Amino acid sequence: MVILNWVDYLAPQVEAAFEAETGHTLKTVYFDKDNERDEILVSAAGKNFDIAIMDNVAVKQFTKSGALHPLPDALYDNIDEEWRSACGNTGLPYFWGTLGLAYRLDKFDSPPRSWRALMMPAPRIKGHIAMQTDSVDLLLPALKTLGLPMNTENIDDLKRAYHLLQEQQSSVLTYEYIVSYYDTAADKDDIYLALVFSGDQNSLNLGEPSPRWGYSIPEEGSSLWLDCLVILDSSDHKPAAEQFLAFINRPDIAALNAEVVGPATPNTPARALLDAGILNDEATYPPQSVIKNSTRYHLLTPETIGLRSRIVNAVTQAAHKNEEKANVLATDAGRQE
Amino acid sequence: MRLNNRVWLTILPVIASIYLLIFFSLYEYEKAAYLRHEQNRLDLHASELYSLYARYDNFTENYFSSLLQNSALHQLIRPNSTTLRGFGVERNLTNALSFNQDINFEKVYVSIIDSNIRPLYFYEYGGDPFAEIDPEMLKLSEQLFQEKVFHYKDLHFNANQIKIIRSKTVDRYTLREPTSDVLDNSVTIALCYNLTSLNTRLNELSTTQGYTFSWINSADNAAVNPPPPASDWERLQARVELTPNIQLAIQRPFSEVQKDLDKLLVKMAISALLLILLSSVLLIGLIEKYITNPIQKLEKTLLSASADDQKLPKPKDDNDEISSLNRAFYQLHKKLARSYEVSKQNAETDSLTNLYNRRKFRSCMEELVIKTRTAPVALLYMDIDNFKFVNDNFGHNTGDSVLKEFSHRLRSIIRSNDLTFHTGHDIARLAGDEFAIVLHKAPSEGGIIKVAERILGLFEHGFSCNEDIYPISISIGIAQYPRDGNTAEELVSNADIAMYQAKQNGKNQYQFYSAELAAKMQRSLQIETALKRKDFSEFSMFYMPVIQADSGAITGVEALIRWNNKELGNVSPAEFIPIVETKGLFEDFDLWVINRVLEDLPELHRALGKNTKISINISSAVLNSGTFFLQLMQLKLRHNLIEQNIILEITETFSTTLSKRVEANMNLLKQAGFMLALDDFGTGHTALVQLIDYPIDIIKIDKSLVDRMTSHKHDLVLALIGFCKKRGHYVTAEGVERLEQAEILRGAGVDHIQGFYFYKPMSLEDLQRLTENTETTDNTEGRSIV
Repeated sequence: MVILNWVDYLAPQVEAAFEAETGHTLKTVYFDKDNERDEILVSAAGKNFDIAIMDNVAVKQFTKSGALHPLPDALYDNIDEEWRSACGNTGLPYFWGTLGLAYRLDKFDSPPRSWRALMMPAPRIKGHIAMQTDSVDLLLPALKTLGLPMNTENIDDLKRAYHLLQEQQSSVLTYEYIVSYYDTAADKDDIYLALVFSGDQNSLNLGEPSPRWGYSIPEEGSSLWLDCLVILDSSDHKPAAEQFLAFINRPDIAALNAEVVGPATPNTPARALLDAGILNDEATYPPQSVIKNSTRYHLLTPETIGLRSRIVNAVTQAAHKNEEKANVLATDAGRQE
Repeated sequence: MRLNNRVWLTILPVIASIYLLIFFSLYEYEKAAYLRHEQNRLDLHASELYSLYARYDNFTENYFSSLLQNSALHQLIRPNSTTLRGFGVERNLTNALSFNQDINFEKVYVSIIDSNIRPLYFYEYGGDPFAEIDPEMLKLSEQLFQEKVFHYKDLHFNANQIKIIRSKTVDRYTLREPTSDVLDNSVTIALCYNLTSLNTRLNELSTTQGYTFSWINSADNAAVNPPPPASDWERLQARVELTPNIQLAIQRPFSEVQKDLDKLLVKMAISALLLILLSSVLLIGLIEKYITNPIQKLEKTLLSASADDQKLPKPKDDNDEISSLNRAFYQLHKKLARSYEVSKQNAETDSLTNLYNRRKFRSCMEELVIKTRTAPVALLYMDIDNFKFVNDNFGHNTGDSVLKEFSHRLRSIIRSNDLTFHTGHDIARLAGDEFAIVLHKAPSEGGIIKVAERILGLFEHGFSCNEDIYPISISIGIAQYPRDGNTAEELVSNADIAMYQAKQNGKNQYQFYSAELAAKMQRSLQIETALKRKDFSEFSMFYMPVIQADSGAITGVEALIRWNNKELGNVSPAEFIPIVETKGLFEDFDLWVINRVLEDLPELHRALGKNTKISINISSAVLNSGTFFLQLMQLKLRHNLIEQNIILEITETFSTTLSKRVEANMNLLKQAGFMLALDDFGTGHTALVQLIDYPIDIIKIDKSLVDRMTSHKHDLVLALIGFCKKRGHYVTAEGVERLEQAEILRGAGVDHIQGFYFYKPMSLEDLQRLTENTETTDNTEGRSIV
């Protein structure tokens, strides 16, 4: 089977255990952008995959166009009530979390408590910011800073958010997802503040002798995200895929997976198996007040999606152009030297 | 015109014409080259623009075809498409555009418009995410639907911005071109973007190079932009076909071209002028250096050269014309100077003797007198005595030889050591036998005398020349400056006077000029002036009785002229007769005297008897006259003279040689009944041999001979008297003042005697009285020799 997944989003132990138990082989293909995944799946290449990780909004979209295979009801028994229907009957809730700020503990005296720290950064933070390119997530800090609803489809709201993003642009070091960027970029130590999903801070802290990154959820509120496992309708290995989903849904496996990967699991019995230390980590399992203050993702109209993606393109392309210009200038300067 | 100016005038027009011609041709050539170059540039730009366009076009086709192949797009246009439609479309579009490195564009528009002209999809790459579809695009798609144009590609122009629009209309089901006339299920997929690089380039070319651009739609063959005026338009332009319909014309406005050409012209004109100037200056400089300056130098040399300039620089031996000219001039000048010297010498010297001539002498004198002022100058004025004798007897060649020899010796004398005058001297031959010496800063009178005596010494025993001795001597007159005159003229004239006096004093001597001399001269002049008036009333005749030596009886009288002038008083014949003779008055005087005596003749005859002989002095010069004899004959007729008792006395001093005419005249006189007497015999002028030839009747012994006669010394006179007597002449002795003389003369056989011892000259009245007394007193007491 081929799974289209985020990096480090499935515990290798789980994978090995599944293969040992069932005799199936799992092949994982990674993506690092939601829209990239969508495009892959929409394209002809989508037929190469059996299982995919999708946010619950995407699940709804793909379900609407009949691209996903309906799952047996029994799978949902272990799922928290509040998450149970979030992926519909075609997606199995996998991990959930918040969108927040990863900040360098050595650069901030206290955790940043507002999206303004990101959108209107203090001078010393300027040029040390990492953003994302997701059409919803990129706009969220701007909309929240402006006090606007996250899922707005109002063009004026979006225009204001776009302008704020444009203003922020010069302070942004990269729009690449920090987890991907951290593996490769030479100037990763220049990032002090990043827009991340909860749990990403753990990935960033991997290999560090002591925690370097903290995670903060701004007071303006955040989003609640939910990733689901889906079986593609085009899959030729649907029974094996269902087998995999069932395996994942087992409390011990889910607990193991959650412990290794990091984010909050919606699997109720699995949570009982987890350490209190994990469960008490507010970054992973935020208090109820935070959850209430957070918004879930809605399915937006195609027009809004298109517009949002154009905004993202405009912001990132402009950044890209500036970067190119800087490179050219640097090259020229080098030549002159 | 000066040579240098002429060089300018000659060279400048030639150089200027040649250069201007060359530069004009060059300009034409450059102009053509410039136009060619401009055309090439235009062509180059045109192809550059075309390649720019081609890259866009290429990209357009590639991108558009990939667009059409895009499955996301297919999803999008599928009828009844799901919410997933459009997923990845923008991603795909953006990726394709982002990876493009070659083409520069700001924005790319992708629009999908359905058959109801509703925008199904619009995407603006690189621009405002909120941008909406261009209404123009809707209009265009409407038009395309109506005209059923399913494939479209064209360039659109808007404010100098060119954009390309590429579209295809497809059926939403088949994704192919609609086949039936029903287009309800069709959409038009359109790609549109600005050709940024092309626009930038066009703008650049237009602002920096001044090019203008026109778009020509070949369908209607009309330019999209209004083309510039035809003439300019035709000049320089290049066209390139971007699409089958659209041509891009690029042109350089003629005004710009003209401006460049004008600049070129000005630049070339300036270089031409500079070249002309430079070449001219160079050429003229060289010409001046090598041609005109040498000529001018030569000219200066020639101008400054005078005939007597001996310091003319010797020309160089260069082998060019100017040096040759210089040499030729040098030779010519040398010849000229030589011939000048010769002619100067000719003008200044006497050709025979090479001494200064009169003219040069005169100028020397004048110069000397003016120059010296106080310095004493001595002028010796010389005339050779009896030189005529040499010429007459030995011929002029001999005369010339004598003159030359004399000149030579004169020079030697002046140069002889003991007479050296360091201050200089001039020797001149003034005329014939006249010479002069000027001694600058003359020595004392003694020194001058030494010179004069040395000159006289040359003639001491006659003048020897060519082994012959000539009987000549020299008379020298000396005048000194400033004592004897203030001007050269005066000096010369006074020296002449002195010389004349020397002659008067008997020749062969020198004479200093003196005031007395001048006075004497003055008197001579006065006499001469008076004589020339020929007022014969002042003259009267005295008669001196001549007695017969034997008897003491008066046998004749000598008529003597007496002159009493109002101013001069009594002037003795010795004083004025020589003047009469030398000034050519003798014939008139002689005839007057003869006439006067003939008038007195009857009285004389009455007083002394008819046989009395009357002596009348005539000048020997009349013997040379052709008219004298005739006039004498007329007088004879007038006075009815029959008796031949008239004796004509001719002075022995006459210098006339015995010419045929003289001899003829003498014979005529004799034939006419006159007796001839030689007067003053013994003064040494007549050689004894000459007496033989003369038809003379009487010889009169001069008083000087008689005076010298003493009792002890009278042999010569006696011998002479004897000689004359033997020749058959009557002899008369003159100037007898003592008895002793009379006795001796009588003893010597003299025929007649006259002298103060017997009778002084007396007037006719006194003579008449004397004869009356003689008749009464029967002869004179004691005077009678007897």
